[in-house]
Amino acid sequence: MSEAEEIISRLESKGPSFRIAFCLALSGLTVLVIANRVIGAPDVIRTKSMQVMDGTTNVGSIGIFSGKVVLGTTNSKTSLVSIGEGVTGTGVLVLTGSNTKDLVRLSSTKSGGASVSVYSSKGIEIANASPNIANAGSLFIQSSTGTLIGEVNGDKTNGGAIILHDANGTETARVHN
Amino acid sequence: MNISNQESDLIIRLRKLEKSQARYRFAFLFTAALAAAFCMIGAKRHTDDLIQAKSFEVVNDDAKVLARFTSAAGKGEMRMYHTDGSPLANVSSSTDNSGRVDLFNANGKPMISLSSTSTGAGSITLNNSLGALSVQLASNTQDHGGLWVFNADGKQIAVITTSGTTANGIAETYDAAGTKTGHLP
Repeated sequence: MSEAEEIISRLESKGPSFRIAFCLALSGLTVLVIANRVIGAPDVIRTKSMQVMDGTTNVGSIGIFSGKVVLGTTNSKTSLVSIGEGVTGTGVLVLTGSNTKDLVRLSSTKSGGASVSVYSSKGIEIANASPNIANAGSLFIQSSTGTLIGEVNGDKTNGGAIILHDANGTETARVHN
Repeated sequence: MNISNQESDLIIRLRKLEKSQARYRFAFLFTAALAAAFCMIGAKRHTDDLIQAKSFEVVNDDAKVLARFTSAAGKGEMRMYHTDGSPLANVSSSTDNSGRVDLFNANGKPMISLSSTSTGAGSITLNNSLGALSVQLASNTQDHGGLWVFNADGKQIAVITTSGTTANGIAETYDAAGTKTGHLP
């Protein structure tokens, strides 16, 4: 057998052309890259923490801190809105003012009922709505010093009442059945 | 002699062909290995400790944005939307650099807002179905707490707060025309 015939037989014994196989592989790779571009958003992104960056400043975060999930936005210096888990394990939402003091707090009472508090610019609670100890609804309004000046309260025995107090906390008027 | 030259030329061409085939074989194997590596990396379920971006979006199957966590004017904000694009909930900021939360009804009207007043105190407002103010829990101009109730025309019909410049609590009711109809104490 001549050398030419040997080479031809070697080439023939290699089976399908690797040129075609290479072209197919390259096509497959191209499809993968294009699909990655076109499909765009993945169904789910798994992470322990996500941060929104404004330049190099973190202005928003969702993450796990001390084993609890927290969502927070900031204006780069102070907190704006924080949503997370309170000490009793219930959800908490806090709005913060530009002076870093709480403005509004949605949380829970010790007995587990909902609690909404509004604060003055000095950080003193001036209004609170929550279930009272009889599990009836109640609304308390305080002066700028924190003294109770008005309440809407009641229970299932006596019904509702509107009660007013003076600046010292002394009751001045009551409307009830 | 002529046949020998032709055979020699053929051998050279065949050697080139064999080398070319070897190159394609290597290129094919390399490309196939690369594709396999991409597939394996893509299929692997991994969790990053931290992802940072200028904006995060949650999209549905139609690529509509249902939630966006981003920055606006140097402040973080999170907005959630219905599938028709109308707002659902906003966690943002007020113009005085304090926090703000707004919840919207199915028609896209603002329903509940947690924000700040002009005095810098907190404020909770509840709106009617048309988005008009219905109840506000906030502070008055002296920083005392107060509750204000409005009718569907936006007229104040009841209030509990302090009296004038004193810190004494008062309660008042008004008719639809705005005339005081009751006063305590």
